[in-house]
Amino acid sequence: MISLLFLLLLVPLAAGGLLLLFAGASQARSARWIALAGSIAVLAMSLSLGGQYRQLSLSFDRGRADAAAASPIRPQVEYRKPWLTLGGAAEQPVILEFHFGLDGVSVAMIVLTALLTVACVLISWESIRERESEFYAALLILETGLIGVFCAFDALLFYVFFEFTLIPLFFLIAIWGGPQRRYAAVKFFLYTLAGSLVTLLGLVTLVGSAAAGGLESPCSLPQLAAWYRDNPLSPSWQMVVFLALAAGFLIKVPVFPFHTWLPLAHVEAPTAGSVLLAGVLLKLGTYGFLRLCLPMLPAACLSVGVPMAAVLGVVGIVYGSLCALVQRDVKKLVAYSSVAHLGFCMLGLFALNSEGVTGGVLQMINHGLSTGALFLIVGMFYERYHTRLVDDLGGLANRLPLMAAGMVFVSMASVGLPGLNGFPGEMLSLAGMFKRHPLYAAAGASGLILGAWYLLTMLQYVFFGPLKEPVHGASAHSHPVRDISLRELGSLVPIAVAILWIGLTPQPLIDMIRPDVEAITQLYARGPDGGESVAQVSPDRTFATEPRP
Amino acid sequence: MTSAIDQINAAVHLVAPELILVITVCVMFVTGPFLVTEAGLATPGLRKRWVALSLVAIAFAAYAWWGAPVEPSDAGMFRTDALAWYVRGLTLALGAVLAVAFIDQIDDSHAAEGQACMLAILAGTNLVAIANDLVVLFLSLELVSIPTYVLLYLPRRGDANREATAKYMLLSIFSSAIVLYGMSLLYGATGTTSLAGIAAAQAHDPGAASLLTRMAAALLLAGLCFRIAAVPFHFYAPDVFQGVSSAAAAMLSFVPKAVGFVALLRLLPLVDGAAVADSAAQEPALRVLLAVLAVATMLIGNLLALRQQHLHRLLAYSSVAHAGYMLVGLTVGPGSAPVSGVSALLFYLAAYGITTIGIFALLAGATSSQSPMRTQTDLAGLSRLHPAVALALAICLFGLTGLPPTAGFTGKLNLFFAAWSAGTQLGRILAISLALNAAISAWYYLRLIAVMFLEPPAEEAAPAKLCLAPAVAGAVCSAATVLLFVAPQWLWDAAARFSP
Repeated sequence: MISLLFLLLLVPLAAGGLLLLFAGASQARSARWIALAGSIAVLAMSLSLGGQYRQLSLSFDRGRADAAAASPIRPQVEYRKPWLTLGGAAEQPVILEFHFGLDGVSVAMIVLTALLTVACVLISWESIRERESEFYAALLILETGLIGVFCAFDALLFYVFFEFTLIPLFFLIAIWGGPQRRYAAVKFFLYTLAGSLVTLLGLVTLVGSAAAGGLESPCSLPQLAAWYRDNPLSPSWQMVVFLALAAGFLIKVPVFPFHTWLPLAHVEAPTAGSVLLAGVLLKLGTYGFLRLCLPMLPAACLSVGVPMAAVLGVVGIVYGSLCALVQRDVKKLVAYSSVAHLGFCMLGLFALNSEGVTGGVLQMINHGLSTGALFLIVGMFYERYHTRLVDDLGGLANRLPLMAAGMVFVSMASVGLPGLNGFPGEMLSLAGMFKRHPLYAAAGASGLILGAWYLLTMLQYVFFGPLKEPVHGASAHSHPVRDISLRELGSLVPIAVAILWIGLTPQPLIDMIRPDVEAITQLYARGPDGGESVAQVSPDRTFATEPRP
Repeated sequence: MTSAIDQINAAVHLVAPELILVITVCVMFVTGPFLVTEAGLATPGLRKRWVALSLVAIAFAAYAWWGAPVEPSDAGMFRTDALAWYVRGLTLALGAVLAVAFIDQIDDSHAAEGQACMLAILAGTNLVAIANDLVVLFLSLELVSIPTYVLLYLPRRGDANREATAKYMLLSIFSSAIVLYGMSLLYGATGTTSLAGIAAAQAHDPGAASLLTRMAAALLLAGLCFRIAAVPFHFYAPDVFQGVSSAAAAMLSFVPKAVGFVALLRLLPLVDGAAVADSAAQEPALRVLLAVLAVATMLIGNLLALRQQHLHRLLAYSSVAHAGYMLVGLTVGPGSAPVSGVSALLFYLAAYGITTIGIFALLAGATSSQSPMRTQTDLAGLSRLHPAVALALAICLFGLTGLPPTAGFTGKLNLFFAAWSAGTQLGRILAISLALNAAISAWYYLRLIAVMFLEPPAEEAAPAKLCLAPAVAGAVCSAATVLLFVAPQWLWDAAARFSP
C-alpha cells in the first residue's frame, strides 16, 4: 500500500517532468494525452488505494477503538525514513523525516485531488492554446504537491508540500490566466507566502519545544500529538502558537477578513486552476487546522479557536453569500460562494465534537466536488461565449439543455439539497456547532438560505428565461454553439457520480473518516469523570494545564 | 635552522591543496605571457585550455583535501580542523563552477591571468580557514583581496568596470587596514599572534586589557563586515556588482562572504569569549551588536532590492540581505540547543553559495555580446528563448527565496530553528525578522521569475546563442540545490562537526 502511495506521488511528477522535458509547440497533442494518461493512472491508483484502505480499516477498526493511549493522529500505514537530523551532537536532536502515511481523511482528500485533476486535464483540452506541455506539467506537479500534503505525517514535510503547491499554481495563474493574471498571481503568492511563514514560526515552536522537552522525533505528527496531549503547553503559549499557525491557514482557507486574494485569483485563473484552487488548495488551510491545531493545542482551540472560527465563519458565510448575490460575473459569484462554504467548514471543525469535525471534513470534500464542478461548467460556457457576465447571458437552457441540467444539478448539490452531497456535510457541521454554541449554528444556518438565493438567482438569469446570447460569441462564427461535448461530459460525470454517491450513502465515507476524527475529538471529550458529553465540559476544567517543566 | 625546516616540512602536508593551487597560479602567470603575441593576440580558444588547467588543479587540490587530516592540530601556523575541512570542500567545489563561469568573460589573451587570480583567491579563502595565527590570517585575507582587484579589472569593459574596480580596491584596502588595526590591538592585549595562544591568554585572565580587547572586537567586526557586505558597510556592493561581469559578480557574492564569516568565526570567540560561550539571561554586548547588524542588514538589503531594475544591483542587495540571514546564525552562536547557530550558518553558506553562483553562471551563460543581461527587461521571454536556462534560473531564485524544494529552504529552516530554539528574547526577535524578511524578499525574486515566464521576448531579439559551459555549470548548481534539499544530511553533518 505504501508503494502505491509512492507511485501516486511519483507518477504525476514523472509525467510532469516528461512534459517539461519535451516542452515544445509541436507536441501539443501528445502533451494532452500524456497528461490525461498520467492523471487517469493517478485516479485509478487512488481509487485502488481507497479500496485497500477500506479493507485495512475494517480489519483494524476494533483494535483502534480501544487504543485510548494511542496518539490523536493515527496513520494506518506509515513509511518513515530519516531526512535531516539537526544537532547531531546535541542530546535532543531534531529529526526531520520523510514520514508518509495514510489515514481516512488523507485517503479521501487524495481521491478528491485525483478526481479533480482528471477533470482539469479534460476541461483544458481545447481552452489552453499556448505552451500546452508546460501547462499540463504545472498541473501534474501541482497534483504531486497536493497529494504530498495529504500524506505527509512529518510536520516539516507537511509544510514543505504546503509551500511547494504555491509554485505550480503561481505559474498556472500567471501564464494562462485572464487579463489581470500577473497581478492576481503575485498577490496570491505573496499573501499566502507571508501567512505561511508565520505558520512556520508556529510550527518551529511546536517542534522545538517538544524537542527541548525530550521527545525523540519531534517532527512526527503522531508523536507530537501524543506528546502534547500528555504534556500540554501552557495556555498562553498555546494561544501564541495557535495564532501563529492560524495566520497561514486562515489566509489559505480563506476566512473572512483574509479572503481578498481569493476572488481575484479565481477570476484570473484558467478554469483548471480555479478548479484545483477551490477544490483542493483551499482545503489545505482547513486540513492544517485539523492536523496541527486541533490535536496539538486543545486549550487554545477552546479558548481562541472556537470564538474566532465561529465568529469569522459566520461572518464569512453571511458576507460571502451577500457578495455572491451581487456579483455580475458568474465566476466571481462561485468564488464568493467558496468563502461562504468554507465558513461552514470552519464552523464544523471548531465545533470540536465528533459530529462537527466529521461534518467539517465532509464539507471539505463536498465543497471540492460541487465547487469544482461549478467552475468546470462556468469554464465551459465561457469557452463558448467568451463572457461570464450574468447580464450578457440568458436562457441558455434552450440552447444548451445538457449543460443547464448539469448546472442545476451541481447548484443543488452546492445549496445542500438533501440527497446530494452538500446536505450531510452542512447538516453535521451545523449540528456539531449547535451542540457547542447554538447561537452561532443558528446564524450559520442563514447561509443555507442565502446560498440558495444567490445560486438560484444566477440560474434563473443565465439558464432560464428568454434566450440571450452575446453577439461576439461563437454565434458570430459559422458553427453554432454546441452543447456539452463528450470530453466535457467525461470531466463532469465522475464528479456528478461522486456527488450522488455521497449524497445518497454518506455512511461509508463517514465510516472511513470517523475513527480519525474521533481520535482527535476524544481530546475534547475527556470530562473530569470521563464523561462524553462535550457541551457540558467547560474549558477550564478540562484543561487546567500546568506549565510544562 | 633545522627546526625551521622541520616546521615547514611539518606544515606542508597541512596545506597541500593550497600549495597545488598556488603552484598552478605561478605556472599560469609565468607561461601565460609567452603564449600571447606582442600585439596582445592569442590563439583563439586558448582560454578554454586555461580553464581546463584550472579544473585539473582544482581536481588535484580536491584529491589532496579529501586525504587531508581532519583532526585539529593546534600547534603551528595552520590548524586543519572541521571548519577548515568544510570550507575547503566548499570553495573547491564552487571554485570549479566559477572557473567555468569565467570562460567567456575574459578574452583569450588575458585568460591565463584571470584563471590564475581565481585560483589564488580560492587558495586564500582556504588559508583563511586554516590560519592559526593573526599574521597568516591577515596574509590570507590579502591573498583573497589583491587578486580580486586584478580579476575585476581584467575584462576592461568601459568606465563602469573601471569605477567598480577602483571603488572596490580602495574600500577593500581601507577595510584591511581596519582589520589590521584590530589585530594589532589584540596582539597588544595578549602579547602573541597565535590564535591558540590568544585564546589561552584570554581564558587564563579574562579581565585583562578588556578595553583593548573590546576595541579590537569593534575594529575586527567593522573590517570583516565590509567583506560580508553587512549594513552599514554594504554601500559599495551595488555599484561594484553593477560594473563587473557576471562571473566576477558570482565570485564577489560568495567568496568575500565565506572569507568574512570564517574569519569572524575564528576571531570572535577570541575577542569576547563570553559572547559565544554562554547564553545567560544577560545578553553580552557583542551579541546584541551582532543582532542589530543582522536585523538591519536583512531589512535594508531586502527593502533596497525591491526597487532595483538592474539585475546585478538587485542581486547585490539580495546578497546583502543574505549576509543578514547568515549573521543570524553567527549571533545565535553554537550554544543554542538543539540546533547550533554556527552549523546553521555554515550550512546556509553552502546553500547560498551554490544558489547564487548558479544564478550568476546562468546569467553569464545567457549573456552574449549582442544581448547582454543587464536589466530586468533583458530577461523578458527567457522561458521561450531558452526554456532550460529559465527553469534552472527559476529554481535558483526560488532557492534564494527559501521555498521548497531547494536547499535554500533547508538552510533558512535551520537558521530558523537555531534562532528560535535559542530560547532567548533576542533569538525570537531574530527568528521573526527572518520570517518577515523572507516574505519581503519573495517579492523581488518573484518579479524576476514573472519577467522570465510571462513577458514575451523583445521583438527584434533573434534567439541569442547560449554560452554553453557556464549555462551547464549553472544548471548543475540548480540541480544541486534540489538534490541538497532531498538529501541534506551529509552536508549538515559536515557543518556540525565544527564547534568553536
